[in-house]
Amino acid sequence: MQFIRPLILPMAEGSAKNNYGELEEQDIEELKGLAGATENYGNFYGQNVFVASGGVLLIIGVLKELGFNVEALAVAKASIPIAVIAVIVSAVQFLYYDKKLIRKKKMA
Amino acid sequence: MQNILLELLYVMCGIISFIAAYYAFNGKEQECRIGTSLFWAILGLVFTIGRYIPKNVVGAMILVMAILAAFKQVRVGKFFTSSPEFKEKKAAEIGNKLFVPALAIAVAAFGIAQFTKLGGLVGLGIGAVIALLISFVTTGARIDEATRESARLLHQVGPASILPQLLAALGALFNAAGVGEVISRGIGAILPADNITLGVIAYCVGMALFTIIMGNAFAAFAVITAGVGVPFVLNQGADPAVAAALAMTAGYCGTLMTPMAANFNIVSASILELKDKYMIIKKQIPVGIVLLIIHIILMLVLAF
Repeated sequence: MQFIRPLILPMAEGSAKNNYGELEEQDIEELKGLAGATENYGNFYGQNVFVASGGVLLIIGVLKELGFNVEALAVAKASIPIAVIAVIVSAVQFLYYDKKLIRKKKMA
Repeated sequence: MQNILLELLYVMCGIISFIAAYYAFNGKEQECRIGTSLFWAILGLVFTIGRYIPKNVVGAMILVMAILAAFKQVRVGKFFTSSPEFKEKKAAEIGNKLFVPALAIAVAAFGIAQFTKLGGLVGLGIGAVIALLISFVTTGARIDEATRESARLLHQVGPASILPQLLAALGALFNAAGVGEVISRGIGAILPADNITLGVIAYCVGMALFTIIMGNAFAAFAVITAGVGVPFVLNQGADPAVAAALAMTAGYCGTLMTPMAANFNIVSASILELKDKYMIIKKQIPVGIVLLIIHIILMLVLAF
């Protein structure tokens, strides 16, 4: 949230106003929702790429107790594909919303 | 070598816990002085000399910590912290060199994990020590500033800082008590144990559903991995690191879809002054579902 409220949300709102003119209240609500979601996407799917993140440590801890010895680095490496995919999927969501706004403005 | 270094790092964690206890005990405006300092002092003991204390006693000590936390006897202290003007002046003076210590942790952790046999944990610890030394050099801060700020951060994280260790222990407990076997026998009645595809689907969807209910993927991970992951996926020949890593992020797909994960979904909505406090979740649900399906495919492709 340290980045979203002062940085990302104003950028998104500014860009939307520049491209599509004045925004309705519902549009701003949805923009805020997407801005909040961005942080979760990045945080959740990116954090385990770091070898010493809480998630990675928990994974090796639990697996060790269950009798599987794995290295933190292997877990971090295994987290890379989904991190990349999460970026792509979120980008698709944002582009889709962009298109929706354009359509709405054309109809009006 | 790795174990000695790891032990040394645990002792350092313990010393920081003792420092947190010291500031709690001596803080002029500290609420719940006894409970808070006791909590951090016990944690310090477990970290420093835990291996020489009988296991049952350590267990009892952890229970005392849990009781203190449950009755809200562990409070954040009021710390003297630098004024905004001082911070601004220092920031201008030091400039971008401020980022060097933070990056040093990541670089050292990764480098040591990649190029030595010491492992990521030791890497993280050494990285933190290096970063601390660099910060002393670049900022010229005094030692008591470092100890006070460390104690302040630990106070702020609070009892939640030991949650990952406790949850890992919970997984072991479930395993020892045979909870995993009960779950897997229940599922085994519906699911053939040797059907890898169904096993992977059960593991990923189970993680997401359990996380939606509990609001926390960490807690779900211990339970679902013992009950579903091990018998239906790991014992079928999956690479444990790959399968477990994906199971954890499959759980995060559940976090995206649940109001139970209030700090990520509901608190953020109020910070952004959203009228609809469920707006963030509404936006996240389609992405969560798509990513969950991708997790199932990835686990089938990458872990086998």
